[in-house]
Amino acid sequence: MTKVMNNKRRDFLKVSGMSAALVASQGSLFAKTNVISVENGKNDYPNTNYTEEMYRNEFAFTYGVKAEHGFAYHCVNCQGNCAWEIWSHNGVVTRENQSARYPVINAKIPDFNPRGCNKGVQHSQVMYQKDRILYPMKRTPGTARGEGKWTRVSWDDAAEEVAQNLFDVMTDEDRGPDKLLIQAGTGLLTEGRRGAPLRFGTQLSANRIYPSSYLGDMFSGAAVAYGEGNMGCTWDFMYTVDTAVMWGGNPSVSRIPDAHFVWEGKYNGAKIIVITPEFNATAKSADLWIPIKAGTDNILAMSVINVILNEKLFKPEFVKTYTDNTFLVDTKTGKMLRRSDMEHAENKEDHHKFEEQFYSWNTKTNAIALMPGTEGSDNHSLRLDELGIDPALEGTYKVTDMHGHERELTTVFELLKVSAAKFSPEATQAKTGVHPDVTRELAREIAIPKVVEVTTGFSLNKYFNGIMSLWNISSILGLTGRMGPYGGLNTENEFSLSGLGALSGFSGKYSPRFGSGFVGEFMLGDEMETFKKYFNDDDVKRAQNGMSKDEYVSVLEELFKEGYEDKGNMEPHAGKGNVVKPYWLPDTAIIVADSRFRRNKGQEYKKAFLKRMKHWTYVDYRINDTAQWADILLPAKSHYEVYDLRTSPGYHRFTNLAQPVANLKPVGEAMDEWSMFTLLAKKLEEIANRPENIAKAKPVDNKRYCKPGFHDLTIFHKEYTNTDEESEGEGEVYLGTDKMALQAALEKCEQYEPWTMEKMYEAGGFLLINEKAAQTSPLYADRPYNSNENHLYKFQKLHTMSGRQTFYVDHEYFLRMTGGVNTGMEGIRPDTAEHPYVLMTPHARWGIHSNYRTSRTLLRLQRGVPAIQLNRVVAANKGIADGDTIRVFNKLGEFFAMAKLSSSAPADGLVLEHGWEPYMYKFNKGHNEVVPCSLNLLEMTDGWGHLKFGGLWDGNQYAYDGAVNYEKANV
Amino acid sequence: MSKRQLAMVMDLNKCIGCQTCTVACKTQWTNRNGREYMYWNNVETYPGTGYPKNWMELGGGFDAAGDLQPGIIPNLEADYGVPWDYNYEGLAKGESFEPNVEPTWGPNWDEDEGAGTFPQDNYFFYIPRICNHCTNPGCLSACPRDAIFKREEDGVVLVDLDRCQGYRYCIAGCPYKKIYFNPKLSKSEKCILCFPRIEQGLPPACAQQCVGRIRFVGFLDDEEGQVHKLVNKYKVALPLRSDYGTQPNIFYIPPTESPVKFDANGKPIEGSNRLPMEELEKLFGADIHSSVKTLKDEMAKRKETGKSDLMDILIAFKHSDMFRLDNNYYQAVAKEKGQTPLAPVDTRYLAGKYTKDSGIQYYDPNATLGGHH
Repeated sequence: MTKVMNNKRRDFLKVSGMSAALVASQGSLFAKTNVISVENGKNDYPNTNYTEEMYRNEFAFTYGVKAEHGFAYHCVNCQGNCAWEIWSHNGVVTRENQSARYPVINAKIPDFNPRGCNKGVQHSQVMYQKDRILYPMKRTPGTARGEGKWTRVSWDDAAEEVAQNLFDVMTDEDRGPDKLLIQAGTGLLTEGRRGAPLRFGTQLSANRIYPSSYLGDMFSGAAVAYGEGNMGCTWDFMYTVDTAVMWGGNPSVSRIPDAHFVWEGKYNGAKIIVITPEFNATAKSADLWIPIKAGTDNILAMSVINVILNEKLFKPEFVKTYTDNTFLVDTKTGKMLRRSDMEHAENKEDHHKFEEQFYSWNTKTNAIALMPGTEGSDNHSLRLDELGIDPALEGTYKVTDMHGHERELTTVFELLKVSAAKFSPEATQAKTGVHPDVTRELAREIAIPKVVEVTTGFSLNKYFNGIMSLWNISSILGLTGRMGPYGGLNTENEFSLSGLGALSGFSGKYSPRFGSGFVGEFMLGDEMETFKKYFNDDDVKRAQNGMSKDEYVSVLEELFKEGYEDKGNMEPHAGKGNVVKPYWLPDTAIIVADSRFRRNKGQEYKKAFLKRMKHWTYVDYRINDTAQWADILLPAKSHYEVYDLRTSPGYHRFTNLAQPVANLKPVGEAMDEWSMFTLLAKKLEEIANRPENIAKAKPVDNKRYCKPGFHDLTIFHKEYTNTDEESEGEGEVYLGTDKMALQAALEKCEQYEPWTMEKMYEAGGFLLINEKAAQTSPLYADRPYNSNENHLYKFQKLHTMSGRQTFYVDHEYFLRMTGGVNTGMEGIRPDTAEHPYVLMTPHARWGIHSNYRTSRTLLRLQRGVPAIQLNRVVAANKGIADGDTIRVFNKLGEFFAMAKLSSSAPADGLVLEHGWEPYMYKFNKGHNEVVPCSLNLLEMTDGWGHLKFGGLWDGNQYAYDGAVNYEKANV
Repeated sequence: MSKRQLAMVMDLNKCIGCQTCTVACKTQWTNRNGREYMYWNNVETYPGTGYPKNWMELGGGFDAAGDLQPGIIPNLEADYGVPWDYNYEGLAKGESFEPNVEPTWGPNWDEDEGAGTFPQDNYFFYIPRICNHCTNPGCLSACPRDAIFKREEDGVVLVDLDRCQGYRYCIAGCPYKKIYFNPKLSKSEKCILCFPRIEQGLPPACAQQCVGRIRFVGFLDDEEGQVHKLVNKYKVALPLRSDYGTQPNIFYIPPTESPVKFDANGKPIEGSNRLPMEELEKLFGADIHSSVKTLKDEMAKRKETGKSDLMDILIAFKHSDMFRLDNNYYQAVAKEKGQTPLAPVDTRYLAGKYTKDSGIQYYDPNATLGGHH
């Protein structure tokens, strides 16, 4: 059918080519029918019905019957989470239309309707696109991975093979769960369905790694400052601010559903500042756009601190109470003065506490004072007045420690001043490209107005020293008193949801082998090879404060030894938290909705991953570049075919419902993840109970991950579905399908009270989470949310070692790299004349990472193939015309893309929206072929206060550290 | 003249170029039946070539004397872009993903490119475009069959698909090139302002689904409505290329917001604006000056005093209030024609001159916290 239509189009083309210059005139040339005589079509046209009825019927067809409509959101990693009403006709989805029924939160603030975007609005088209995986498929025996030879198998046969491999790895004494990876990728971010693979992996204590980290989406610098990287506001807050700074962010492209709050805020009087190397859809309407040189954000932030300190724009009372700036530091060692330096503890437990208690200089008593609210303190409030403490912000002091040694101490603030002094706006201009006048304006715009929200884009974390960018920006906000109603840092707010562990976990009976995201992928993909090949000694020295490449590599190798299979975090560190990033090297895997061959950097990852894997299964609704290489492919249902719900993160306060349209016709044999993993569980249990297997069906495991000390595979399905005796006894909720999971979530999560599925449907496909979802601020019924109001007004401590915003880290890596305080650091990207351009791959308008990248609807609104914005002048000088194919290269490799000559791209940079699957490029060479991989020792820090590996502290895989050149290609 | 005219206002300051409108329109009308290449709604980056390519230079419309001007029919491959497809079935076979036709042009080819010198004075903005449902349509005048008409009740311009013979003079005659030839039907088709949705209480797909909340829909004679106020009261919403003489009924709040320019040293040029007034004047005519002045004055007033009725309208606190579809009126029209009126499928957008407010109230509208001013 497609072919026929194309022929017709071509015919049309010929005709229209020939008649290209038709002169329009009154049509006396053509005979009119005698049936209707029209004097003037502008009045009383006699034949309206025929056309009107045709279009009315067409609308009626797409609309279908209202009572049969479904609801959905798109559970992909844009985190937008929007309520859509799904239209259908006779069980076939026709299109989607935003529900647009979110209630007004406050009549004087714009509402959240009609949340959605250009990707969400076309899932109905992708849902029936022919890259769907329709049936379980097995790599045809005797063929190689990636060869594209598949044999369709029944669900039963597929489950048998997957379960047998699971059984084999679990019961092999040399392998066990250490060698098993069960990973739910970010193509499946929901509170319902995602629980299925998580629960399955948890029950087997399989390896799982931290997505934010391997995606480079971890706000590690914010975690240093606040003990928690995810913070900020619901986006309606943007409407109420005086200044909104989009630092490395482009909300008009990558936060499409919420961007209107920014522009409505501007109409309401807000000043909008955008800091990005490229000119983009947000910059185009801003008041001030700051064209910063790529990757120098942390240096610009230091200059802002410099101005704030010099112009006395900081708020001393805030700084004294809510930050660690008054804490005393030994001028010789750089170590903070701890209670364990001043007093002997009676026992081990107290000693541990004393190590996390700190002093300031009390100007009321002219002596040191132990500060309340620190991690080791029994006083959990930050209130100082009741304790008679007025801590000194500045000065140098002397005390004698318990060993009788005199120590010279100064404050963190003094050290910050020294560090910031090196970064005057004039001194940084050459590096950042930002004129000193602009830097000063930025500092004043952040410091002076009443409400200022600084939104940091995800791109900041994708540079080697992105941790410093986020930390320094946080410090700007700490100096200027920005928390709660006064604004602050906006990374990505998250609301609190309780009780959902009932779906994904086992109340601690089993735990996953939770590994570091960025280190896990680095090791799994042998990325050290790429690192060594690409970066030279100068690069490492520049980025790691003079440390040589050799020393850097040997420090890392020591950490890898410690982190392998979590060894370093076991005895003798038990009870103290993690001291190193754990990782595993699995050989068997089930991977769900995770386009890892697209995402990971360099050329080695895919090869290394496939070499390690003895057997691996891929679950998704479409064939992406990763799926092409699997051993087994299992077809998942997509967003409009399932029951589910989603809250996270916290751009708004709504939880959306997924409920399929009535009588939905199935797409192939696709299955929802709960039904699928329940089937796998059933098979695994069946295999375990076979006579030849039963003797080894209770493999032992480390009690760190498996409290009983063994996994009883003979009751695996029962445990998975909560139908085992123990769960029945405890009245656990039954699990097994997507709908059961949705109902269980509504029952278990107290923030969802008092909603039911039926009420969500009636409301328009959503619920409002209740006030219990609040984290660090109250969730008021009629106000936007912004983090850290409780800290400000109730003097609640932060989850940091000091209990306050952190300006000082005396871990050895921090002391070595930054001197413990905020500083400006250059990136690791080589600075060469041979490869003078930076490759920027920001979040896309046209895809949610790789999701929807292959949509024909969307590709027709782009250039149909990967296209890259080049500075018009630079490209023209290279003899490149718009539409040419260019070769982008460096010493790692090359890729090809269409040149898009643009006035919006900087002279020293290339702008390529990310997410393209490698198979979309010529020769299947994705753009990550030229992107190296590295690890920053600051992010490798562990075992220090709140910097201990876990969900709140990991690191990032970087994406912007490749230096490239480009030329017109001859392909 | 139609009895009443339905109109739309689009706010270019709020347009983020996301094309949700374009895709909403496509799934509603143009993903099938020979319409695949058509974009009844498109969004183009300005400065740029637009869609179809260089449409402003392809003629049509009327001269000052009211005479229809010659026009050129765009070419599918060179001017509209071929709706290429892909080898989806090949992906399971390990193939690379490739378009079946080499893409050389498309409806959004020069997205975000803009003009000027980076970073001193480069700029761009977006212009979403649908059929202007003109009071004096060029397409209608050009049709030798007189098979194009304006609906009496709301001025929506439609091609009579019963009588259209596919001669395509309309395409040449429309200066906006917003009427298309359907090769499958051998007839012309165009944006129908989603009249079947409107009649049943749903705003046009491009407008209701616009996530930038830039589009207002209502009758020009509805004095309570935002469309009337923006066009006739504040006179800030202007037609695009009114010099073509077709009297468009789609209006634009012109772009006023852009960052300051930099001098060669990267120093901001105080009080500068990247949007060249002569370009805006070309697009929106001489009235641009008073429109921009009113907008800037009201923005300043809002910043200073926290008050401005115009800003309140443009901010659009409640999405559903952006649309006034006057359902009673449509019901009455249907009855008058002896038809059975269609029941509305939605009750949120029904208000209008002849329909009292149907808005659903949520929570306490007098709640205290708002802007901080």
